[in-house]
Amino acid sequence: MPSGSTSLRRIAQRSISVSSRCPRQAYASLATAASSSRSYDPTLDSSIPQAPRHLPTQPPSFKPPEFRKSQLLRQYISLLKSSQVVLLFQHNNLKASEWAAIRRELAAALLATDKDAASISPDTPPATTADSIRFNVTKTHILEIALQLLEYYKPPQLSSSTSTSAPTTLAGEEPAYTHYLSEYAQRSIRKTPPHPLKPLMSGPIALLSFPSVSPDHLASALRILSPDKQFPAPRKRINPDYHEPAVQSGLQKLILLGARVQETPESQERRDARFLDNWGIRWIAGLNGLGGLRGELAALLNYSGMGLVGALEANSLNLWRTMEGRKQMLEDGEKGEKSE
Amino acid sequence: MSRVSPYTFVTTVPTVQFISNICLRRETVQLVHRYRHPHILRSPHPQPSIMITRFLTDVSASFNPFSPRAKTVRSFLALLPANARQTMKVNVKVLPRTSAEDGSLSLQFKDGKQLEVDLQRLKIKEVMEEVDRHSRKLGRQAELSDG
Repeated sequence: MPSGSTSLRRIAQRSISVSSRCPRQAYASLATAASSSRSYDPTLDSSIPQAPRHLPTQPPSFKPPEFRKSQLLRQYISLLKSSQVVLLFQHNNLKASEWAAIRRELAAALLATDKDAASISPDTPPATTADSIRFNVTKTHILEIALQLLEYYKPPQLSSSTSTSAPTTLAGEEPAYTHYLSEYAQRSIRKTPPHPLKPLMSGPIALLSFPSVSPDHLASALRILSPDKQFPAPRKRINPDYHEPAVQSGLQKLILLGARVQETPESQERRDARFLDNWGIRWIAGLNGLGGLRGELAALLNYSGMGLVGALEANSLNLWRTMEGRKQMLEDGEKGEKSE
Repeated sequence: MSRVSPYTFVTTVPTVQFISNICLRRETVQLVHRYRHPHILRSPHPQPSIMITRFLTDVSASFNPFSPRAKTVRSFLALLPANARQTMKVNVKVLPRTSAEDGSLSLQFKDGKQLEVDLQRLKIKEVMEEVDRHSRKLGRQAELSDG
């Protein structure tokens, strides 16, 4: 017992010494002094600026941002916003080796197109390059929501509460955030009409995205991924790699479904014209690219120039011919007189 | 005299391990797995569905991707395994958006049975059931003839 009582006493002493060292009492005395000198002012709290809870570039999202779904939605929206043409493919159980082989062939074909374009016009930097074209597998349902948001949700400009067009929530308040991942955006697409590409949004979907409309690149991608009579696949003699079993078995399982072309001010009235089927895609790819157009223009100028030169020359040529004919006649007459 | 417990059958349900030792067919394993873990069917992330495809010899499909009916055909094509083209003929035709045809799906089995799927009526689950029903019959016949 004596040992136990001494230890208890020691603990008590230590706790007393700790409390005496603690500066809490000093703060408490200060606080009481302050409250006594000035009464509590409720308007003071609102005037104190609140520390921001998030970065200005990362506003809070409706669903938790650490979810993969949120990040994928964000990624798909940015992909669709930054690419003017997107081709949608269905991929039926492709193996990793087949994906790798197809991506390799696609990259090689697009690089060759880049080189052709560079040889035709070396000064102008191309809008579409081979490394900016991506072939990605997507989560279908999240892609559908991203398409829906881009089609029907226009983020309103948040202004002061006095403006009449300020967006309001169901409760009638102005929403705090209106970015694509915000609650306001998610709620506002609930009662919109179905997206024109909605029937395509089932099963496994892969996206081939082009940053700008480039018929040359589109045509060379179609030659690799979905060849037909108009866009034939490369011959075995020219490109033997394309005819490897890994590429061919993979391509049999890839189906081109349709395409989405990004909204422009001209295309706002005709919404369905921006969602193309197989034939629409081939029509765009069949358009003459920049190189082709330049060739046509050069041929046209050449031809008309030749005509112009001919027309301008014609008068003087006629004059020269008559004069020459007359000279010949006179010379012949002189010869005749001499001989007589 | 001891009575047989009414729970005997319940207690002797073969485990997944046991079944997979005898027979490694993935559809069988999945059936037993479903029996033993019914809560998985109720989960929001169900297991990917598997169809018996080893008795199919010919699949010819055509669909208009912009028609809502195409979903069944496309889901069916997605159910075929990665090496499907080595064991069966697969013929896929994509129709233009404006086509009047509604698409079709016709199958042929190893015993020569033709199956024209009614896309107006059947959803993918029902198509799978119909295909599996005939495939199981063929499977039983094959087992009997082997044994």
